[in-house]
Amino acid sequence: MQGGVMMLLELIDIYKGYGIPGSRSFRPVLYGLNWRLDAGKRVGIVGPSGSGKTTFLNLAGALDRPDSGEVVFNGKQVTSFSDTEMAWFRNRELGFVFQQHHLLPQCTLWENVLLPVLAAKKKADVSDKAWAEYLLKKTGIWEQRNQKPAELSGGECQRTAVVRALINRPELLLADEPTGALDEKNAAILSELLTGLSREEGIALVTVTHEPELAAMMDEVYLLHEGRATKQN
Amino acid sequence: MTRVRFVLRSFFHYGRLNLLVALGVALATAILSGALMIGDSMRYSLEQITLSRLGNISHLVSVNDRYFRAALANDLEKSIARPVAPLLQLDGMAVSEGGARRVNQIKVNGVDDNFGRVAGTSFFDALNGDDVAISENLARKLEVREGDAILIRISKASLMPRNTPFVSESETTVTLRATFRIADRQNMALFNLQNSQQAPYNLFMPLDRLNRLMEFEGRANRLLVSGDISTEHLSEALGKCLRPEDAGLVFRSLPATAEIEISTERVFLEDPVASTYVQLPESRPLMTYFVNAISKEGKSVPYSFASSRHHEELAPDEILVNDWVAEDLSLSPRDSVQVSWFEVGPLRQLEEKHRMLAVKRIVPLLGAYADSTLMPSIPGISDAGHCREWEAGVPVDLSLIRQKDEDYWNRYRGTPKIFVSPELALEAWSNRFGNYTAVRFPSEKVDEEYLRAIFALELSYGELGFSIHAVREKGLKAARGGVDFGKLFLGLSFFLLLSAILLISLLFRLNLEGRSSQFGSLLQVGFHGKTMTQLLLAEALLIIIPGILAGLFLAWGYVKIVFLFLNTLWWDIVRTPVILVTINPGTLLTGVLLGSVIALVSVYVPLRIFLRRQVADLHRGTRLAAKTPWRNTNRIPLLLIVAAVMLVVWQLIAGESADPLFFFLSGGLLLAGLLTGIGTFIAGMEKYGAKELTLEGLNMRLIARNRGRSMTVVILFALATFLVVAIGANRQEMYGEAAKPASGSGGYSHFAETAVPVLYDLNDPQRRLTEGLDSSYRVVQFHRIAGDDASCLNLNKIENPVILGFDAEALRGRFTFSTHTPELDRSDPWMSLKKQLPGGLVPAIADQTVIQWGLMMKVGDTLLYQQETGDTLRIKLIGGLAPSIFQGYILIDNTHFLTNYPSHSGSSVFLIDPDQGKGDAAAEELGDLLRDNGFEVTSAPARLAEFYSVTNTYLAIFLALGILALALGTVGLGIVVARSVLERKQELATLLALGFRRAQVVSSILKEYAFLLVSGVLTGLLAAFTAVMPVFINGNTPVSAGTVLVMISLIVMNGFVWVILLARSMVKSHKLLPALREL
Repeated sequence: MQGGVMMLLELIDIYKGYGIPGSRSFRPVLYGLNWRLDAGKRVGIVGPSGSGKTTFLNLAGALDRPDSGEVVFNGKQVTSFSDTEMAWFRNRELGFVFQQHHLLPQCTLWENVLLPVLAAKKKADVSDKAWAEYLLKKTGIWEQRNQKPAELSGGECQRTAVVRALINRPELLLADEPTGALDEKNAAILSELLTGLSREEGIALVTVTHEPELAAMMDEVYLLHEGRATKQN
Repeated sequence: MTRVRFVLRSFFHYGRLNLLVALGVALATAILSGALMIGDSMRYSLEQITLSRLGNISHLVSVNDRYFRAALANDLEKSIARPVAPLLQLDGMAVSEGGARRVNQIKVNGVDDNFGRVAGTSFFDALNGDDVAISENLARKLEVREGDAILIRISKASLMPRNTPFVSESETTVTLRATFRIADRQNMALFNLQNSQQAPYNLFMPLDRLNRLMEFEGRANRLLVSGDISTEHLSEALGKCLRPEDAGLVFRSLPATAEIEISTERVFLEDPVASTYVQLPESRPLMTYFVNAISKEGKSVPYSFASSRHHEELAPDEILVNDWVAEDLSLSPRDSVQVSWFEVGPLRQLEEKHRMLAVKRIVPLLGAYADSTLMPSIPGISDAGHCREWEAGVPVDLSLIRQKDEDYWNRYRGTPKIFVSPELALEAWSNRFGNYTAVRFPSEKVDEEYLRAIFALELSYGELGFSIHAVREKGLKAARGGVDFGKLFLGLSFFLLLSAILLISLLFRLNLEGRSSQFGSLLQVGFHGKTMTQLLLAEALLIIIPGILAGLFLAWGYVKIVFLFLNTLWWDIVRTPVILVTINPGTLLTGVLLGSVIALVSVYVPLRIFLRRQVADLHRGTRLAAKTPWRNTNRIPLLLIVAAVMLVVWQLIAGESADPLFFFLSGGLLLAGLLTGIGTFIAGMEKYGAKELTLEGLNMRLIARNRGRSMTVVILFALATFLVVAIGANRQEMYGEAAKPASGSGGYSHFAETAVPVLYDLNDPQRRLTEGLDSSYRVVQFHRIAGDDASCLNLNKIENPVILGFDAEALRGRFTFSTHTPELDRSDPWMSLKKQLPGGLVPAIADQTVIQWGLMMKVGDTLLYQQETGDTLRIKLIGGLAPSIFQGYILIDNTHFLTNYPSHSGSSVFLIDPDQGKGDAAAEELGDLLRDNGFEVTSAPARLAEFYSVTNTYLAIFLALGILALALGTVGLGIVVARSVLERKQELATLLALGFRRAQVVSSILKEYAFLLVSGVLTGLLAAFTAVMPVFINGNTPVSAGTVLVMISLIVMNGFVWVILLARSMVKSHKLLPALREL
């Protein structure tokens, strides 16, 4: 707790690189990064290509582990989690939206949305379905729920991906270039949707983006440069 | 950019995947061409063996149990102007010095200088005097080297059939000790006149020496003809060259009675000879017989000769006695006397017969009534100085012989003491060896020249027991017509070939699917579907052609490996070290053509299916609009399954007449039905899986999404299981049931053979007493007529297997029949052998394996043999035995055997029926008694196991190739899993990102393939169980359930292990997560 605001996520002295440490091929990406996120905040991460935005997001989203440093979520050290605990953590606490929607082509939109539920239980229950219905209606794709990804537009698929990310009522939504594959109109719709849902549902949002429009909708924007995150005015 | 350039660029760009497809093509070509090359090589090897075992010999002239003039070879050679060599071939045994090693079945060949000419080697030119040469295999078996001494025991040849009444059975063998040279393959070591790839153990010695050992002079029993000559020409020449001496006939001028006599070395004149001469005018046929007693009211004259009188008016119940007998028995005309004699049955079984005859006249012991020449020449009797020295072939109680009998013998020798009518002689004393001992003619009317002319004119060589065999032509035909290893290996490699085809198809399909969007783009920019097909086929050809060429090299390696195994592990099915690899250009071309067809079909079918998709689907890499052959087939699986069930029910109702082929057919139908059923089910899984959102439902949809791949996995594992279960069920194994009468051993403990026939009945209580044999076991004795080995140990196609003659009653209730004709009485099958079939057919039983594979016939078919008298013996196969120790033989009853081969003497095959498990003791006791006969005994289960070993070796090859195929199937499975994970990596990465645990994702993949694996295994299991149901029903062949279970477990485990390993290695966050950023 700092200044009456609950701290949700903190990355402490993070070092992360690729290749074999000590070898010529080793490429450090993040070095000595310190960063924090308060609950309910919307934060944009910007930076040039290769600055480590996705690496940052992977570490924040427990998709990867740092070479050193700590990731703390709600006071819990995520870096000390086992693989199983990491999976559970991602499922219950986080939601992901990627540049590509990565919907399962064999499933309908409705099924894709409910898919994360199955990681924890045998099948989706009534409350899961009601929440899915609410979100689908809210995102305007309820009518298309029985269609498969191949039958939907890119924007509809990406909105579905957003709903899928929210199905387990996470505290943090992580988005990696969520509008990168969309046209201007759809990008604007999705940007509105992400920030709107974050605000209305009280879900913190971290989005990596190149889009100034999306970045402008965030409460704070950080620039990743030379392995560190610097807050932008 | 041209189309050719496009094709080439694509070919090289997708080089790795194309290489895999080319490997699949190479494998299919190697399997096909390899199998054909194996077939060619085996045929070539068998032909080479035939040529090696015969040298330059083209024809064989042979006789059974008789010996003609060796000089007949010279006469024939002059007549046909081609080399002819005489051969005296006898059976024998050889023992290394010290008796450490013994070979009981050797061929002793007496050869002269001509043998080298017909054999095509000079090796035998130096074989003189006391020289002996033995074949390499005999030296190896005896573990002796040149210069060592060996003991040779040779079956003593006799000019008369050994079981001729009153001929002594003494001296059945002749023994000699010899040092030897070794004849190698180039020098007739493989010399064999039978069609078999297995070389006999040969021993060669000069013909003169072998004649001396047999107490013969210039005799032979085979003529070997070399050169190009037709059988007809040879027959004609042989007919002209034969002399009465060649048939053992003897002419004798009898000045005392002014007669000329024709008699035989064989004691009794054979029927064709006798009837030829008896029907001549002025013929006086004679039958002189040895009677045990002439008795009247307690007085008896022992052991006398009796003769028929042709020119006396005697009624059948009348007799003439000479005055010596009349005085001895105080006889007067019209007195009745009892005459007793032995009737000699098979194996010297004796039955004493008695007849009361009225004395018509007492004749003086003078003139025609004092004719000692009426007694036939019987060694052991006619050459004995005293009655007490008689060595008759019947029991003679020497205590009954009085001094006056000795005096009679000294003075009158075997002059008959009584005379009977020809009718009585014929009725009482005629036997299977003949009806007459001589035929006489008045010398003033008939001379020897006339009788010789009659011989030449009236008697054919066949009637005299001669037969001509075009051994070279028949040998080559048998070699070419034998087991077709090409077809066999094609059949055995079926599963491997199928796996290779499925793999080619799968790899090519994966290649296409990986490039789906590219094809979509090409179609989008205006390429026509036909053009696309042409481009892709052109690319496929670039894959196929090198694949086929590589396949031909692989085939060579495959053949070498198979032959390496045939010479070692799989030796049981070839039993010869002479296997030569040969390459026939025609075969290579066939391999190339077949390989091309298979490869093209394997790529064309997936290509056609692939290009049926909508352009948009291709572009997006989705399969929404794909139509697959699995659709709309809902009724086909049901129809196939119903047909299979009906077939099984029909066969079950048919009971014992059920045909295993129908069960196999229903197994095949069930396999097809279940596979198409699973295909249909998988097609519908997309729908079932969508009912409720569960991970299992998702798996079902994944299976449905890749129906082609899913079915490939199911089919591969179904076929593997089918193969393993079918092999396991058919594997022949020896268990405790071997002692049961219905088993393949018939419940007999031992099977034995002798090189020298045993002339007497081993079950005769009197004989057992004198030989000191235990009386608690029984022995079944079989007469044997030489022929080709028709067991599964012989690879050649056989026409005339060995015939065994025996008393059918002895085998009642033994063995099990698997096939039969209506002539076979199911309730008492063996006794059907005693039937007289219409048309003079002789009923016979043989092992079904021999009928089907050795003879390539079926029950109801007829085999043709030459009878002893030259006529054709037609044998009808009325029953087929389940696998038994009789493999290789044709079984007929003694009555038929001895009618057709009347002069055959002694038994050479034996079954020991133990008394309460004392089989080993019985075998040992008989072994001691019959050691000099070359007694070779094996336990009946061991003999059966030897035949089983052949079947099991074939099954082992099938299994080995099946395991290779399974390995290929596993490769296919691995590729499918890897490909599937790679294709779904974004999907799987998403699942991981969404919080699914790695174990959950791996388990989801495992479940997907578990369904496919288990479906395949269960399908294969059910179909195989149906196909081999007769094995379970009959229960004669215990199924190796344990082996089947272990193999199935291994198949399933093999599948699971690979799926788990691949899934675990590929489903890793650091490998999959980058996919989330891929476009």
